[in-house]
Amino acid sequence: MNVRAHHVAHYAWLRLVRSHYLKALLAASFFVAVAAFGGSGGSDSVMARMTALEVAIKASRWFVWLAAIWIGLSCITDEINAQTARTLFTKPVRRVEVVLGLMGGGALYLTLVTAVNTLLIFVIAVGRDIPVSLGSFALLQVSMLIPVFAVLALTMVLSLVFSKPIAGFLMIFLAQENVWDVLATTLNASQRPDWFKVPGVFLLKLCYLISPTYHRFIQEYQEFIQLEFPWGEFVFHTAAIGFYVGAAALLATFILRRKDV
Amino acid sequence: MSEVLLECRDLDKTYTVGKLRRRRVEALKKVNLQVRRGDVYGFLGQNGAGKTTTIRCLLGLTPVTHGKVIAFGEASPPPEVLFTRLTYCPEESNVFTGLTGREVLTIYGRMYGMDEARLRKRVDETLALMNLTEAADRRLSGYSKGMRQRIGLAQALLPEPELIVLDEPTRGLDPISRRRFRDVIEQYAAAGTTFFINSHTLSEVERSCNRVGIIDQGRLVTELSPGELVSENPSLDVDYRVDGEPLPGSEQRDRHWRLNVADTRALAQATAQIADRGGTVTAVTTRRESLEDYFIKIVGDQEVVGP
Ligand SMILES: Nc1ncnc2c1ncn2[C@@H]1O[C@H](COP(=O)(O)OP(=O)(O)OP(=O)(O)O)[C@@H](O)[C@H]1O
Ligand SMILES: [Mg+2]
Repeated sequence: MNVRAHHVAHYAWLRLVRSHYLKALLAASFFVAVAAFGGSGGSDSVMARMTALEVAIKASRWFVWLAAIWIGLSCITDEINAQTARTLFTKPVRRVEVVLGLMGGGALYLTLVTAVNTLLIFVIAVGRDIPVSLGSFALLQVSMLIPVFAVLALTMVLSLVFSKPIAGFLMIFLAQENVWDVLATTLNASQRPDWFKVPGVFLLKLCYLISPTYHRFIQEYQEFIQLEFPWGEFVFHTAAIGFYVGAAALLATFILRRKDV
Repeated sequence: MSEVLLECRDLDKTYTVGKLRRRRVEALKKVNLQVRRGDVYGFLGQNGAGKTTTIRCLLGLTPVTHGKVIAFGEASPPPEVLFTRLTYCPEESNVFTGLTGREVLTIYGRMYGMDEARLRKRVDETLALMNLTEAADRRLSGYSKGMRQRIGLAQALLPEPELIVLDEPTRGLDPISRRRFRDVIEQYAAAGTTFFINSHTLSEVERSCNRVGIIDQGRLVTELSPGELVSENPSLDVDYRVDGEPLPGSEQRDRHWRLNVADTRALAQATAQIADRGGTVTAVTTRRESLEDYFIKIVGDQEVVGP
């Protein structure tokens, strides 16, 4: 079996690296990371500096999340709209590999952005005497990066089903925790049998993962520095995201087989 | 008869346009065609006749409404099978313009599954063939339209497949590049490559193709070889000078008259009449009905009805 998805990923990667919009987004995320620290210049308290760190981390996460939506909206749709898909899709590569390759290129790019941001924030934090270890900080960043892959995959599918702006709005709407909160509460309070309610509520709670704040990790950040890393939860969330991404890839492949390119 | 590489049977394609008020556009109606090994198949038609749609159906780039597509003996093979033996250059070379010419070919070459050593060699060869060696390391955004078209052609020639499908390959090319490209086709065809070429540049098709299909308003009107055209209609042109009245039906050419006659018997009559009037015959030539004449006779006479 010939696997050629990585060549598609390479192509997607080059497309992203050479896109000016993403360069601007990357520059803006660095700027915010630095600016967040600059704002706490007046105070010397550890608390104030920790807050500044938290702001920087949240900002970096927001930018990665936005970049994921941007890439998800454009990576297949632009290819089809610009008709470059006619050249790309007429290569001996399975449709599912094309989808996974395009996703993979995007994921690689988001990883790069996160890695650069993490290093930047870490260097500034050390310079300002904020007590963080690179290991635990990197782990935190990874745990916040992985849900972004699900955002990328879901946006990609939505952009194939709807137009780009509608898919974008829908994605931002779905990323509101309140949406899933309300649905979970409603389901919980309903008369449904437990065998339906319990997994239903559970699945709805898992939808939190695509929210840009994905706040579990961030809120407990300060404790986290001292706490054990919640490995169990991390592994579970990663598995759930793997499921989302896989389902999205299959759905995208299915749609592409029936779509005009 | 040689092996059929690509064929479609009773191919119908209806596009639905408009989200709210749905309208149907019948792009293809019962198209049957066969591309055999060794063919250089020219596919002719007016704008909007359905040439590109036929290719897109054949290659699985758009769902077929009705009918069958058979490639290499298999009904609608998946892309990973189909495109190992067939390459395609779309209408308007559609390649991402942020890459350099060499990068485009290298990336696509890897997707074709070529090994690195052969790939490097073929990239240099095709770049030279398309006269792009100098521009190879510049990004496509800085290429001219014709250069981009040539990169599109280069990526189709790259893996030396059995069958190459080209959608208006010479669009946007200057006369010298056209000539070069015709030579390339001849060279590849001589080496056994089969071509399927969409075009409305008739003279070009006439020169390089050994089979021609004409499509009009979604129907395949006729299939023939350019050779057939000549034998089908061998009329003769008689050029003559005369001081008095010319023969009825003659056209004025700058210094003489020209009369078209159907066969040698009519020719004998005409020369006798010219001699009677004191004229002299200066030349007799076989009129080879060009593909263009034929095309216009078949397609141009009909009133063009928009979809
Ligand atoms: N995506 C589409 N949606 C709706 N109608 C389409 C679509 N693509 C083509 N058509 C219609 O199908 C018909 C055939 O179009 P096609 O592009 O195959 O023509 P063509 O022969 O390639 O013309 P040209 O010489 O201009 O390239 C046209 O009437 C066109 O309007
Ligand atoms: Mg066309």
